[in-house]
Amino acid sequence: MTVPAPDLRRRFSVNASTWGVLGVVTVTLMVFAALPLPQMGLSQLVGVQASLSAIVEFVIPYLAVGGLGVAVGVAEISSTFSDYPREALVTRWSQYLLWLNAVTAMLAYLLALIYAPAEIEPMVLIISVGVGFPALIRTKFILARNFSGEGGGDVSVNLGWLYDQFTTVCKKQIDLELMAYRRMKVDQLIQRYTTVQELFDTALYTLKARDTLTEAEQTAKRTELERIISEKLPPELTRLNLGLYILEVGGVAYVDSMTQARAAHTALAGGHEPLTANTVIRELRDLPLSTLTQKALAARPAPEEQAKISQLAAPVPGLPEVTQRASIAQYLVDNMGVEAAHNLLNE
Amino acid sequence: MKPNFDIEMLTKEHQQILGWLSERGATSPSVLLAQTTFDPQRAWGLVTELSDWGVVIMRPDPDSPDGMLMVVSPTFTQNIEQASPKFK
Repeated sequence: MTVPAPDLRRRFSVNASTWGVLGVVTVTLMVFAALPLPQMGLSQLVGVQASLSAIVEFVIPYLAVGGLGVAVGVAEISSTFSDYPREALVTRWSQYLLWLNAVTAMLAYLLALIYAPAEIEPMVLIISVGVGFPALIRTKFILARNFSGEGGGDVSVNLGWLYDQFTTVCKKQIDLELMAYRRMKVDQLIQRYTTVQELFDTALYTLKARDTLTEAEQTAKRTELERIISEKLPPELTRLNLGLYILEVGGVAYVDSMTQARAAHTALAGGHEPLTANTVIRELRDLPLSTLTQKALAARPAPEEQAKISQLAAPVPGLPEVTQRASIAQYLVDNMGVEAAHNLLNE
Repeated sequence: MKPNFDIEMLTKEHQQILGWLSERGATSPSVLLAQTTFDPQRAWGLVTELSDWGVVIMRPDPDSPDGMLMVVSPTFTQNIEQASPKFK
């Protein structure tokens, strides 16, 4: 069962028609603002045009300052959660953080407008506030430094204390939301890739396919994969760990594409389970060793095949009998085909 | 890999088993016995030895027909690829 969590990749996704409408509205407003209305005999609309221009002139500096604040917030979040930047940015607490950055930057701009000298260039003010304010609220001023160099006795004014507290809360909440999201993705993956064998092969392939990993990263990832497969944990836990490993190495888009490809494959098969080699091997394996050996020897009369089957049936110290039966079943399926091997069950 | 393992300990037969396993990926011992020309007793002995050295990892697997899964140690593969590209 998949752990329910919001699909962060789809949150705030806007479809093409909405973008189209927004584009048309924006272009229309821009054209309207630029039209020479008196010459066109539309003097009655000049007042509307002037109001529109005034609104735009008033709003744009705030948007620019807010945008710079948001850009700083985006940089902070995406660097903190570098494995899942896109997903981290659309979490609820990321949105709070981005809005906080934008709104405080706009308030700072408002204060700057009130107290800054009137002759200062608007663009200079926008850039100063847009870049300076985010830096200011993240800065700790040391007024007097302790000579010991340990920093404990410094006298300082930490302007960013409040912001630090808020970012700490945000980081924790974003991490929790991402954790639920990762679990959902892993569950989707292991629902489609159900065995440790499939997941291990996929994990190894994913690691080999990553070209941008440094040698040290490759070593660390291989060691991690070895630890996961070596640990004698229950298969469910190993599957979860391998799923998380694939997600971390391959990324969300890769896991999505794999899950979708497997879902499409299952749908093409019509939902019903075809007769697979694995099913037939299991059914043959469940026969007693002597019965299976007799059936195999009767079905494969060639001398070299008889010799191979006899070898597989002979007891080997330390080798479990189930492995012997499974190996004979495997040999029959490999050499006779699934259907013919399956027919042996009814003979 | 276990500390007592040295690459010089690998015989031609060990290398053949490892080559087959590397191509095959994760698999069960029964597939190895059925699909290679090794005598089962010899093959099982080699696999057990490789497992003791930590070069091959064997673990229980309920999805495998014989309840066991074996893989070549990912770190061993990397070491051998770095030491000798011909093993790639």
